[in-house]
Amino acid sequence: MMNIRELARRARHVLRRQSFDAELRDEMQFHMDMRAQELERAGASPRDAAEQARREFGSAARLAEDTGRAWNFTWIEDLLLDLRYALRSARRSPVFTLTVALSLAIGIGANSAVFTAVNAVLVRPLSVKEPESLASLTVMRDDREPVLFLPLEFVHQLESDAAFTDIIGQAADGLSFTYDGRAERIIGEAVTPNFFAALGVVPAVGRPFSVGSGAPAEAVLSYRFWQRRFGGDKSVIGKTIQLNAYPYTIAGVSPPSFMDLEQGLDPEVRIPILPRGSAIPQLQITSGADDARVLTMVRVAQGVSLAQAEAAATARFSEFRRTTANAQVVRSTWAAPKLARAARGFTGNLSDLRTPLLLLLGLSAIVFLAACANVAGMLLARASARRRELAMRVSLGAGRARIARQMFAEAFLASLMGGALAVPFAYATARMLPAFLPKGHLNLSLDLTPDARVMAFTAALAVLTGLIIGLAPALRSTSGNLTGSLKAESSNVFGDTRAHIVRRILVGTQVAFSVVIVVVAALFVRSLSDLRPSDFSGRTSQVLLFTMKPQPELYTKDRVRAITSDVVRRVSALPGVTSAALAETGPLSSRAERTRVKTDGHEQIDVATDDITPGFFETVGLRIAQGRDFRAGDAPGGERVAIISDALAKKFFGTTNALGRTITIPADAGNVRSFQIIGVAADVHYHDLHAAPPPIVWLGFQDSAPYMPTLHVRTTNANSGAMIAAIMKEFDAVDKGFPVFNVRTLDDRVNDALSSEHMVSALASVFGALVLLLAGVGLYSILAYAVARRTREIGLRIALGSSVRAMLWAVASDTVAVIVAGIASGAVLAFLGGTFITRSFPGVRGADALALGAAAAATLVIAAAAVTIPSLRATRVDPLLALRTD
Amino acid sequence: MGTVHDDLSADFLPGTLYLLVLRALTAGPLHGYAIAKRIKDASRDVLAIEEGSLYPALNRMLVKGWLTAEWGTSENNRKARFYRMTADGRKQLERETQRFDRTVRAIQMVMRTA
Repeated sequence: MMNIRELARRARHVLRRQSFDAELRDEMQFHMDMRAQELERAGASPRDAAEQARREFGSAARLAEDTGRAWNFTWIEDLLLDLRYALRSARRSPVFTLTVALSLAIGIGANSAVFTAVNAVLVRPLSVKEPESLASLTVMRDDREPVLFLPLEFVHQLESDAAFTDIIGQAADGLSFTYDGRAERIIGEAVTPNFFAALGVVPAVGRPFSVGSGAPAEAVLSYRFWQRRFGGDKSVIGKTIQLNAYPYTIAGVSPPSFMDLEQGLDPEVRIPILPRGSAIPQLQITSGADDARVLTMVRVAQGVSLAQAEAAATARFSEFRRTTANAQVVRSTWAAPKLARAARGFTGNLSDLRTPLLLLLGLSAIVFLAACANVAGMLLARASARRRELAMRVSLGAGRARIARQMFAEAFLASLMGGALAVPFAYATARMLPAFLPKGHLNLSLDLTPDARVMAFTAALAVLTGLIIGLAPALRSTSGNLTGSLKAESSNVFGDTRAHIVRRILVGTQVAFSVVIVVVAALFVRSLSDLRPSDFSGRTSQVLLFTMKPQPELYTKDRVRAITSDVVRRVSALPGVTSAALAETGPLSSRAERTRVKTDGHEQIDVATDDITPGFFETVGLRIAQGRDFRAGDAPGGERVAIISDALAKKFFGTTNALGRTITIPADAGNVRSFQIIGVAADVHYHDLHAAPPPIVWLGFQDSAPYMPTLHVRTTNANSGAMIAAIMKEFDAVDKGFPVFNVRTLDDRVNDALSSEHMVSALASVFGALVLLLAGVGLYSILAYAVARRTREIGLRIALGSSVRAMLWAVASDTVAVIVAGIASGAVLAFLGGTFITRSFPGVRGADALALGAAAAATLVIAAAAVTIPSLRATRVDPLLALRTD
Repeated sequence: MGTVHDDLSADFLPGTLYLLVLRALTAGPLHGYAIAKRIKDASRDVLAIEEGSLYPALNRMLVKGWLTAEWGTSENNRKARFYRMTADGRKQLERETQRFDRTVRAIQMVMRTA
């Protein structure tokens, strides 16, 4: 039992070791002199007295050593000794060492990489002051659907409640940002003025915006935006930027560690919400009006439980509902506030990543175990090969525990090297992950810099690795009759069978793990083609998309109608453009609109909806099965018309003709609008590729102007770069005052809709290849070892006239059983895993004969290659040489 | 218990050496030689502490914080290292004394009755 103070005393001793030794010598000298004096007093001559005193004292060196040991961290010093020895033997066989270290780097690195993402998405708290006391505040509707954005009036009323120390509100939106040149779209976030102080977020440069009425309009840039747009120039502080044409002064730059309370968001600019009652017409999000809405985070006061805080919020909410003049709230079905711990902030944006990440974590754990099995096998082989050396050490007096510890030290050295090599591997893999985040009107971003937690994870994994891989050799070296090995010849055919069996089990496990991972990779690769929609005819890579956002604060609806139709007309006329049309969202957009539709004799149902302009179906490659497209005449004020999808037509009208029938859609204030059906379009996966095509209603912008429309352009030109430049020029010619962003192809959107599958299939393929490689190395080494071990036997057989083929078989048969057993058990595991995957990932088919067969084939190819090389070497054994070797 | 030797090992019961050293230091700081001498004298020459076990033991007690050591001047005016019992050491002495008494009583009981 060593407590801290004792440890400190020992540590101090290390520092004063030199003086300690000298002092101990003095002390011993003093002791002997005192004894000599005593003997003299008893009548001895000074000479005899000194002589006897020294004799009585015994070995001064022994005493010094024993005394010094009282202070030592004995086990640490022994460990260092063991590690030094391990390092020496590692240097003696560099190829072996490198193979071991690389195998472990793969095993540990795969886990560190996936954990980096898991940490960023599912574990890491916000980089703010005391994140554990933060809670998100929402209001549950009657139907248990939460209202995320709460009216400022209610938020302000909470501020006086003692249950909360801080109430933080935020509302993000796309804004036009102008500093020089064309307006750019950025995400701006209006926050309650206490934002930086309440969260303890200190700007990296400058200061937070001033608080209080009459303060000038100030903005804080995000660190990454400041780097990207201003090159990290500190002199931008105090410069003026335009947000929706409203001037703001740059006050500061937020620190790189803080992105947003909303996970996945990194708004470029933060501006304060205005004092109660005031507003800027150009910037809706800063409105301080009572009915303006914000995403709300609270800090629960110390000593107040979450339930108590929720009760306090509930009381305030009842009061608010009773007294508010906000008609929307009064009419609503809002029931009760809900508080939820939110140390990681609002997590909705990235919640889709949870299942794929957990699956990848599982796969990387398998990679880890496979790597451990591989290295344990190699260390075991070496321990067997070194039995003579170990036996020698035992006969020279080394304890078995000492030998076992030496084995562990070697395993730890290997795992330390593997862990160190894993770090760059993890960095590189983690960098790949953001590429799989879907892009859209919000650019999701993640901070994937490995932090202290990732490092601790990696270190812990390295230690665990050392324990796992050291176990087999340590047990091996302490059991059995080591001294027997001294007498036995190293080339004994019958020697060491038990270790060989363990090694075969380890290699078989690796083969099984490879099959599992390759099957998972195959399932997801297949799902990519399974899920790829055939709805869009023509080349989706030649449909270009441009999203526009003429800020409603700056552009009237008429103006928006005018400029957007101008853009469509001009772009349609460009050479290389087949057709162009607008859609408010378009297929597979990151935004989705829904509405409720009714027809006579049917319940109202919830459907997907979109507003489009004439030519849209042709442009994106959708087919109008019956009736006609919208046309220029279907304008605001004219007769209201709609196109519905086949699924909706079937639902409402069965087999009867839908054309000419009427549907109604609710409008504001309890009114409904009637639309005549002019067309029925073929079914299309409009939002989700994993589910059946939904019922859809397309409208023609008759009642609303485009808000954030996307221009869809079908081109004949495969060179999209040139086309994009030409189209952007047309935007500039029409109006430079609104941003054009999210420039992509329809193909990109399809891929984004499959981002989880892309992520899993890419990483699983990489993992699969690595595990196969490891299994190949494992098979190769087990066989190479067997051949080396049996050189004499082989030589003898060849000398006695055995054929090359028989020789090949004799050697390879050793591993055939291992491979077959590994593949079989891997297939069983993969089949079971497949049922789990189909449950968690809609659209991914389970492990069937095809997937299992493909994985088995891949494993067989690698296995065959690994087996062939040492087997061929066996056939080239020179019998004379082999028989003469020891 | 067998016969008692002249140089009975002070460690015939575990921890006894610590007990003896602490007991020797109750009256005040002593140097190593004086500690051994005091134990020897007090036991009427039965308990002779070997230097080879005394100094490692003293250092182990330093590590445990029962003792502190400092250089001072001996009775014959020489530089010597004096050991002093700490508060922790005093507590340890009390604990060890009780334990020792119990053990000795138990052994005596066995010797008388068994």
